[in-house]
Amino acid sequence: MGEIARLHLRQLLGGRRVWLLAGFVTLPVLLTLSIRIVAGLPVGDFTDALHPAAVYLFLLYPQAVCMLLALLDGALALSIELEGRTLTYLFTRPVPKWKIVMAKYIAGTAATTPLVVGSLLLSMVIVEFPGGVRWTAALFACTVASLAAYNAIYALIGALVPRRAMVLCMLYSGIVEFALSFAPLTINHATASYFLRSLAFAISGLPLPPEAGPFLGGTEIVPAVFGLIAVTGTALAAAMIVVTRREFVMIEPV
Amino acid sequence: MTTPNATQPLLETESLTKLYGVVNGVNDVTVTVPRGVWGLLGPNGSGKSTLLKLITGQLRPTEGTVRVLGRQPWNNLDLYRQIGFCPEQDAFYSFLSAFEFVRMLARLSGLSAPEARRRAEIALERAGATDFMHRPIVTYSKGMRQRTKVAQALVHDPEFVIFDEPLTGTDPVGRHELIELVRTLGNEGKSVLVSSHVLHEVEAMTDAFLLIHAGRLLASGTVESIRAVLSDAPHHVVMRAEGARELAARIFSELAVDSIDIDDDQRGLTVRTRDPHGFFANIARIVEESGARVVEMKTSDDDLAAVFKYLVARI
Repeated sequence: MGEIARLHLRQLLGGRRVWLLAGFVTLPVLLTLSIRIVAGLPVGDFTDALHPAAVYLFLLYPQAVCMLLALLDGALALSIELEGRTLTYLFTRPVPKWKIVMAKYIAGTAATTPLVVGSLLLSMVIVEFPGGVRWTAALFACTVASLAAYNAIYALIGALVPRRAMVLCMLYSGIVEFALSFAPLTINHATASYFLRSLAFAISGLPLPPEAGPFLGGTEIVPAVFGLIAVTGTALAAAMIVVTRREFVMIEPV
Repeated sequence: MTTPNATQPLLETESLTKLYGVVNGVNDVTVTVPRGVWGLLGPNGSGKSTLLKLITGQLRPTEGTVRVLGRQPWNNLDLYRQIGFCPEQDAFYSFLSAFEFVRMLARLSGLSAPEARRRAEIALERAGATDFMHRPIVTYSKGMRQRTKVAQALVHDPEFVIFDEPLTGTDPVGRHELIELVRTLGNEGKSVLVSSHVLHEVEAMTDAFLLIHAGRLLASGTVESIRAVLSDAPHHVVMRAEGARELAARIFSELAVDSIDIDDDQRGLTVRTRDPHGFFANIARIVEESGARVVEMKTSDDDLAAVFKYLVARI
């Protein structure tokens, strides 16, 4: 697995994708800095309410930056091999295919996590750690969990539809993670966003009106953590099964 | 030269069929191939690559069965240890050097780190890639990349080596060395399957062949049996070289050729000959003596397609 992981890191950090990667972690910091300079910090007592800057950072990092990074990493992990037609080399070696998926997932997540955490830290410094210690902890936890979850989900989409992975991942994000995750029909329990919001509420300790719960998320930490583990684990396991069982045609049919 | 004579089959297929939707890639192929050096001959689009991907476990049969060295290949990790595959496509991790690339694939073949390094050096030397093996692949010529692909197929010392169109785009020297390598592998007791759409390439490596056309196996046996068919048919060889005009003059004076056309850019030439065997036997020497620098040489597929049409009509 080490060789595949090293290879994946060089693919991720050695090509043009690294500039996009750098942009995705730098631009949020610049955006935050711009907002801080132009608008200043929110004024008021936010002890029992959502701090606007904390909400902004939650929407920016776990809900946007992590998705973008996962698009670059998880969604392309397999399709880049398929389109480059290098998958042949990996699939004709005595390495179980699920290990290839796992190695790429671990390497990609491990490489991008410090980048996004560093970016978040800088942004939090700029807005002076809004919401205090508990919101800080919530934002970091949600960011790390989000990257892990979306990398796994996008890896599954990439395995199912490698030639349209980016487009379908974006569609999935818009339809499922942004729209369906607010649907109070229990169907939102299948989305990462629902559990990320739950984790944020649980760690930050902010009160959540009972009537908002079905839409926004829960307030208990254990269901939130288990929900995220279940979503991530299921997606990753499904990706490994798909890659092991399906054919990837790299030649034009005669 | 090793001819297939071992008792244990290299390849067994039974009604092997591969469909891409409604398009036939391989169509109802039943064959038992003994161990040895074999050529897989067919025009472009005849199903050679599909058959090789079925043999190497990259594709699953739609119908029928395929067994390689007695085992079905799909997801068969034990079998992958015994197979070396040199794909046709010019695909690489171009940011790696040949050494890094081959060493990595040796590791993925289950070799320890020190052993992978050692075997990578040996395989690259064997493929004639030592001189440039520490440069990034992105800087390589077509011939260098071809040698790198060959090295990765050999690095884990497989029992069965499969080359998919290995001579495409190689220069005459590289072509000669690769032909010698295949012969040597055969002499070492390895089994080799070389796909090509050029009869004379295969003929230089082995006298045993499988003939495939439109996904169907037309024949298997010795090359002589179809050389007779080819004897009266003209063959076109397309070359690109610096010093093309001098090379053309030399070819015309020394070989039995019908005509030579030189492109307007003075770099490309098309040779028409009825003695392809003699042409390919002598071209490396003539190129060297003429001082021309040949960057590409390929045989037009049209000739072979005509032969296949002839064979199909006879069946």
